[in-house]
Amino acid sequence: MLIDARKFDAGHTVEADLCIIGAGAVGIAMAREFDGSNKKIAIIESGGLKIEAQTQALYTGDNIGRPTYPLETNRLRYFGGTTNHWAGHCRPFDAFDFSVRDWIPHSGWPITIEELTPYLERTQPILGLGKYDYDSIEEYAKQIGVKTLPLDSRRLINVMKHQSPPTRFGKQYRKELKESKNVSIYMHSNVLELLSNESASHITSAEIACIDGPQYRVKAKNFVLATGGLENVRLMLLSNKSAPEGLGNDNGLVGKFYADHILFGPALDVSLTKTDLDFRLYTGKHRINGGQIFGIMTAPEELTRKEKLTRFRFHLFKNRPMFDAPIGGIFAKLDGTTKELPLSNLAGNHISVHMALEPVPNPDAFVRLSDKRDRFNQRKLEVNWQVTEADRRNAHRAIEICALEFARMGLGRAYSPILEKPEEWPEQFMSGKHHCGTTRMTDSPKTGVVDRNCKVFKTDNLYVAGSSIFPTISHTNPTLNLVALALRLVDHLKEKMS
Amino acid sequence: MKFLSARYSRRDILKVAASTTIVSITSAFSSGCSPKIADLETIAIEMTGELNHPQKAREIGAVQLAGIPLDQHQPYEELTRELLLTLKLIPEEVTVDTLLTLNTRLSTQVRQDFADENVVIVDSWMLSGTEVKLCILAATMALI
Repeated sequence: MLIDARKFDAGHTVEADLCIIGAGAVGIAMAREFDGSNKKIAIIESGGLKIEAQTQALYTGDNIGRPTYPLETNRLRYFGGTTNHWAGHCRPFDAFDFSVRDWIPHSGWPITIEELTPYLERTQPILGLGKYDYDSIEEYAKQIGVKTLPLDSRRLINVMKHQSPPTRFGKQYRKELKESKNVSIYMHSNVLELLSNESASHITSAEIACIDGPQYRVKAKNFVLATGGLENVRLMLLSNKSAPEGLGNDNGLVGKFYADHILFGPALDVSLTKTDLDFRLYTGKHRINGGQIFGIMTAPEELTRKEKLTRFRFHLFKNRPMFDAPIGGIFAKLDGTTKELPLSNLAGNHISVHMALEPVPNPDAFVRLSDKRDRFNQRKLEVNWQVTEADRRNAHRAIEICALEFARMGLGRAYSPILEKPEEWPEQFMSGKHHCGTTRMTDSPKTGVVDRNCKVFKTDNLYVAGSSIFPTISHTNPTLNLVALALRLVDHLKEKMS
Repeated sequence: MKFLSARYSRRDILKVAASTTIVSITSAFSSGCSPKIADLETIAIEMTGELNHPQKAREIGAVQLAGIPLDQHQPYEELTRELLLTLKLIPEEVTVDTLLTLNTRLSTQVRQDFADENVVIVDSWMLSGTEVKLCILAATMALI
C-alpha cells in the first residue's frame, strides 16, 4: 500500500512489526522480502513519488572538509531514493576486502565473503543484472568478440563489472509494493527522531512530521534505518532524548570514519603508440548472459599486500586528454608500429584512464550535526570529507602502476601530473558520492556502531542498513553490496521476528 | 651525418652493408674493404633513427640535458656505448648485421625498463630510461 501520510490526523499512531525508515534501494529491497508474510511492515518515506523541492531541501547541509558535492544534489529524497539517479555499476567486494589488512588501521569486517555471497546472488536480479559471474572475463570477452588487455597479472588484472539498466527502485517496484497487503509505504513522512526507553536499549517509536501536514508516530517492534550514509547518522544523533550523545553513540563513533571513494577522472591519459587497439571491452557495455558487463582493471591481492596499498580500479574512456601534445608517436616504432603517428590530439590516439581509490579508514573524517536548522527545526548535517597522506601515496603508486603497465604492454606512454609531483594532490580528484563508513560494522562497541547483524550495540531492536555500515569500502561501487547486506539483515530479522 | 643517400632508406643501406665486408654504413659506399664492425657514429644514428619525430625527441633530450651539469654531459660516443651495453652488446663487436636487430633489441629493452620500473618522468610523462637516453643521444648528436 502507498499511503499519503499528510491525510492522517495529528497524533495518529501506526503500529507495525517492523518499521523501515527510507524507501531507497535498501528499504524497498527489504520491503519486498517481507511482502506476503504475516508481518506488518511500515516503510517511512520522506518524499513522494517524484522529487519535490521542499523535501529535497531537507538534505541541505554544509561541507566543512575537502570540497565535495552539495549534500542536496548527490542523494535523492523521494520514493526510490538515490537509485533515481544512480549509474548502475555493480561488482561485489572481494574476499580479502573483508579481512584485516594489517597495514590498514581499522580494517577488517566481522563477516566474510562466504556469508555474503548467497545474498549477492539474490541481489543480482533485483538490480536487473545478468548471471552472477564476476570471474569469467576472458571467457565473456571471447563470447562478445572483444579483447582483454595483456596485463602482467602480478601488477594488474582484468575484472568485470555488471551494469544495471540502471534499476530505478521506485519505478520498478512501485506496483508490487502498492499491491502488497502487509507492506505499507507512508509517503511524505519525515522522521524527526526515534524514541526509546530510558536506557536507550529499546526503541519504542518514531516521531514523524509531514511538510504542511500532521505529526504522527510509528510504533514497531523493530526499526531499521535505511536512509543512506549521511542521514542514518543524522537520525541517530537527533534521537538524543534518552541518549544525550545520540543513539548508539556512547563511544562517539556515530558519524566518524566517514569514507568515500577518491575519484580521479582522469588519473592518467595514455598517448597510444598503436592505431589498431581494441578497448571496446572497457569503453562499451556488452550484453551477455541476461545482463550487461564491461571491463575494468584492478590490482591483484598479492600486489596490494606486498606494497601495502588500498584497493583501486581503473576505467577506460575515450575522453579528451589532459595533455596538449601527445608523445606516443615518438616511440611508436619501439612499440612495433611502422606507420608514423601524428603528434596531435586531433588524431584521437589516446585513451583516458579514470581511477577510484579506496581511502584508508580515517576517524578524523566525520559527519555531525551543525547548528543550522531545517524547516522542522531539526539540526542539519555538516560533512567533513578528508583525504590523507596515506591516500595520496596510494593514489600515486596506483597511477604509477597503471602507467608502467600500459607502456610495458607496448600500447602507449602515460601522462599524469601526479607522476611529476607525487608529493602533491592533483587538481582533478573528487569524491565518489558514495557515503560510507559512518556507522561501521565491527565486533565491538569500542570500534564500531553496529554488530555483525547490523544491530546497534546496546539497543536491542534498532538496525542500520546501507553503506554506512561498511568499515572499509574497497574500490567497488556500494549498491550491490549494500542491498546484499540488507537481504542478509532480512533473514536475521525474519528469524528474530518468528 | 654524411652517409645517407636520399635514394636509399637507412634499412636498405644496412642490408647492403650487411652483405658486404665493410666497416660501417658510411663506408658501404666508400672504397675500403674492412671488417663488418660498425662505427659509433653509425650506431648512434641508427639508434636515434628508432625515434620518430626527431625534432620532438631532441627537444625531450635537450630538456633532460638542461638538468645535467655541463661538465657531466657525455659525448655521443660515450652515450652510444652505454646504450649498447644496456642492450648487452659490446661496442667493439657490433656489426652492421647487429644493427638490423636494433629495433627489436631496443624494443625489448624498453619493455623491460617498464617491467623493472627503470623510468624517468619528463613533464608528467612516464618514459623508460632507455627512451630518455635515446632522446639525450639525439639531442647530443644534433649538437655535433
